Amino acid sequence: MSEVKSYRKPYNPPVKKMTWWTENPFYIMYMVREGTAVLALFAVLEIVLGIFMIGLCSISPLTPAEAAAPYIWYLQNFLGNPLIILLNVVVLISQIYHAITWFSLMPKAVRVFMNKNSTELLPEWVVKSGLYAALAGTTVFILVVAFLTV
Amino acid sequence: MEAQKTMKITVLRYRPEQDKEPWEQTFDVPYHQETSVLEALFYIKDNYEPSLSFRWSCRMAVCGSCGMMVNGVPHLACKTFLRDYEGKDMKIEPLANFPIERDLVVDLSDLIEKIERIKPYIIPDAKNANMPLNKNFKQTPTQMEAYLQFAQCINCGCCYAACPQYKLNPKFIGPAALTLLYRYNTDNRDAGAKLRAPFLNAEEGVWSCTFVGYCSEVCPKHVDPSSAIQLGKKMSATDYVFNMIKPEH
Repeated sequence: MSEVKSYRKPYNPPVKKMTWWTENPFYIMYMVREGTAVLALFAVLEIVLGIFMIGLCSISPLTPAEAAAPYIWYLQNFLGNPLIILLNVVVLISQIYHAITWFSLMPKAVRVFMNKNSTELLPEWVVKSGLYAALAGTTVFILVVAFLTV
Repeated sequence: MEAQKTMKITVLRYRPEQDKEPWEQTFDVPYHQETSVLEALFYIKDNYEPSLSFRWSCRMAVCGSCGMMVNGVPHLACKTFLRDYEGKDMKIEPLANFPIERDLVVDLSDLIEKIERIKPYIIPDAKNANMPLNKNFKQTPTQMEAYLQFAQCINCGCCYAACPQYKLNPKFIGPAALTLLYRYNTDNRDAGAKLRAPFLNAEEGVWSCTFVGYCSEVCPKHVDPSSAIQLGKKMSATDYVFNMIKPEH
């Protein structure tokens, strides 16, 4: 058999490992959605700092104000700082955005039929409303507990 | 009669025997209300560049041959119309994330290999393995509905071109193959879930998906691969827990 020369030379377009997401608005929105996790990390560190400050409070106090000095500093100077307040507002907005985008994706992971003989799927709005109701319920519960324990 | 409109269409060209890398060529293509991107390519091939290569067959979104990037978005050329790009220029490129073979033709062997890997066929249980040909499997409408949407895939590769995880990690089994895996696992006639489990549970299986969701957005058959993959994650997690309680080996 005679040799057949192949001209095959597949071209592999270069992959932009860091900037691929800038090429499409859909990817940008995805990165924004995932980026909200960084702001969630800030909220977590903030709470950890609060717990740490409680731990710093001394056990044998002269006066209650002296005993709780580190935690009072945390409440007044740290949480009261306008920059921190502003950052917390940004965190809140980002987490609400995260919840909205997450809830809108959730129906994709739920595939339940109305009943065992139905070919009709549970409508998306039922799944979404359930999630919003759970969010609202949790928020109200936390606020009520917070106000009752003040 | 309505005056004929023209559109500037830029096509990415690549001739392996003479080009080092792809280059762009622009054509003026007349079009009317019904002109599809595929017909525009025919016009270019017939009137300007007989050497332009592209894949096509059915011209009606059934065969899955003509997947390509139109203005950066994966589309079937036969199902995309110039009227929807009126007043804009158009850029046609080969399907992203696959090696370019020539002009708009890409090498889909990786996609084909992955689809083959997940055993995309009904594997009956031992009891039904030798069922006589004059006997049927019974399936209720609900049982059919469970997988039917995911069985609409035409292997066009648009979801792979849309997937950044596949772009960054070509080992990822990817949207279409994982959707087919889920489709066969949920079919009540099938008993092959155990054989497919290693591919489902693997790092390059469902767990490489970060739910970008663009595959579902671009799928020309509305298969919704990202849904199948999230449901596959549930399947994989359940499998993991059951294996912890009652190991197979």
